[in-house]
Amino acid sequence: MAQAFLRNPFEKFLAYLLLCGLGFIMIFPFFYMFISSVKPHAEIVQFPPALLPQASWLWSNYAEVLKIVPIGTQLLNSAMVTVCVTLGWVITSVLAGYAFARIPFPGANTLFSMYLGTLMVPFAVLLVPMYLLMSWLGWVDKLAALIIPWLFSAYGTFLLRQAFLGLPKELEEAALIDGANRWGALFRIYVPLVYPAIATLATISFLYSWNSFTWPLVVISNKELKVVTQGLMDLQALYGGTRLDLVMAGSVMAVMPTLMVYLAAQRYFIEGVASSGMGGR
Amino acid sequence: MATRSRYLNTLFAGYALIAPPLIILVLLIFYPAGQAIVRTVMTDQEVGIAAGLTLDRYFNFFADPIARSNLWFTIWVTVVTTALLFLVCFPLSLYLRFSSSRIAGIVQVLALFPLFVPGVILAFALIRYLGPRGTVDTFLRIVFNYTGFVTPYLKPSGIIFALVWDHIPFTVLVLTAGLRQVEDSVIEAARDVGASGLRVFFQIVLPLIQRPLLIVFCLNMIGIFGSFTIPYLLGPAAPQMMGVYMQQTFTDYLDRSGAETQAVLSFLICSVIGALYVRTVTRRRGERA
Repeated sequence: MAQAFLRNPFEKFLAYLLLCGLGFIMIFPFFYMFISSVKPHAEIVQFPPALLPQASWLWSNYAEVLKIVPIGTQLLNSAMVTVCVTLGWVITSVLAGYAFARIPFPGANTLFSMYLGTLMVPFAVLLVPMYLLMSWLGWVDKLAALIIPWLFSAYGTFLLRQAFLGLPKELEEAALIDGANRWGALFRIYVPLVYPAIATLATISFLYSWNSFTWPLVVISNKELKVVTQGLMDLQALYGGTRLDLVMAGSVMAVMPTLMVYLAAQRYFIEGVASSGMGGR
Repeated sequence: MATRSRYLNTLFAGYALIAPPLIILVLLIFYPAGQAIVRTVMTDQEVGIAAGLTLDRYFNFFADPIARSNLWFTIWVTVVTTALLFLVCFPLSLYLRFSSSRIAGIVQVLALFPLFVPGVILAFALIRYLGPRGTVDTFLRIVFNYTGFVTPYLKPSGIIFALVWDHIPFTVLVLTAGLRQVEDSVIEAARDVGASGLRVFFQIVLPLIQRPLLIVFCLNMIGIFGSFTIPYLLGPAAPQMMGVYMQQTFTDYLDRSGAETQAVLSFLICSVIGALYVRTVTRRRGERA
């Protein structure tokens, strides 16, 4: 079917050339980041630079990072926040998505529009009012501030609503006739059928939470409670941005969990977004 | 009586299921945002004097040349980045949609890769890549003996490059999903009667994917307008994007009301785009029903 657009071999050659360029732009910065993380500092600043470490691969850069910044604790903080937020997203999205898809109640459309409306609010807009609220609640410099406000996701509700809408109504009706209640129908029949959508949502939530930087930067200042993205900023600031070997080693450590999730889950993404209805269905 | 009881049960179930997220939504998003909006149009309350309505904070914002230039800069970066995203992502999405080769699989992996990279790490990687004496600069010096490379680091072009890179996965995902709704037979029929690739694209494909286009346009515009990490780490000290400006006004200058005014103005601009998005999504639901 690609032939529908690219019938000419020259067009194909150009397309492949373009794609190779894209691959280089996408991957090379990260390949270079990894290589820089195992080079001695002197080799990073030498000119012309070598692609690979010349003397030896300096894995001790990683140990040094662990010594100078509590990145281990920060990785744990990030993991804890990420797990809680992901669970929150999945639970609240399953419940609300099912209600909007299957239960007719007055005001459902208005409430759903309200949910969707939250997607149009850039986070920077909420920064100040939310900080004031956290301050009033006494949650500043507490992990609760990184978890509780983010237990809900409009996108997740939207995604699961679309997934539930794609299932036949008769399944639920049959279960209700057989004596199951609504909760039984939801958790025993519908939820197992939308596992792919839930997996997509959990992955998106993981990435969103693990990568968050702006909110932690504003609301957390205690070194022991910082998350890993803040730890990287501290590492960068510690030597005035000159110890790139250490910054890159810290970055590699921080990106490893997301890389693993990426390798495991990237194939679900097209399916997940297509099922959300954003593609036009 | 039984029917009424069933109806009440349904009502209760509906509201109970949406209650947890709704409580979070109202208490942690709508309530503080509403309060912030109200505060920006109230006079400062002094002892013994009742608060009144005023637009002074907004007049002050537009009277400040720095604030004005930051706002225009944000709008400019948003528009240019969104346009570039379409330019880069359309060919990619078309390729992914119409090819089933192994290379297409690799391209898909590459196109989704940025989704998994934290903004902070992206910024550090790009500083090494595009910064002074970075990969690109070094490559040009060694291979072409070219020393005139101007680094985009700490320049508007640096923000735009990184934002385009960062938003490629979402744009490609939604456009590819939209393109999957276009039947192969429609395109084949047009090609068989002699339509060129460009004509097929502009007269058949584009009209059929208007809605995903609009959705990706709205969500990208809003996301880019409110972006913080990338402009904060890669952008110039002046002008600044609104996200960085707000954070700085609030945490560095300790000017709460100034930051709130900037936030409400940003919200108003984004709500115009957001209204278009909500209308698109809800209209499709209406048509389906």
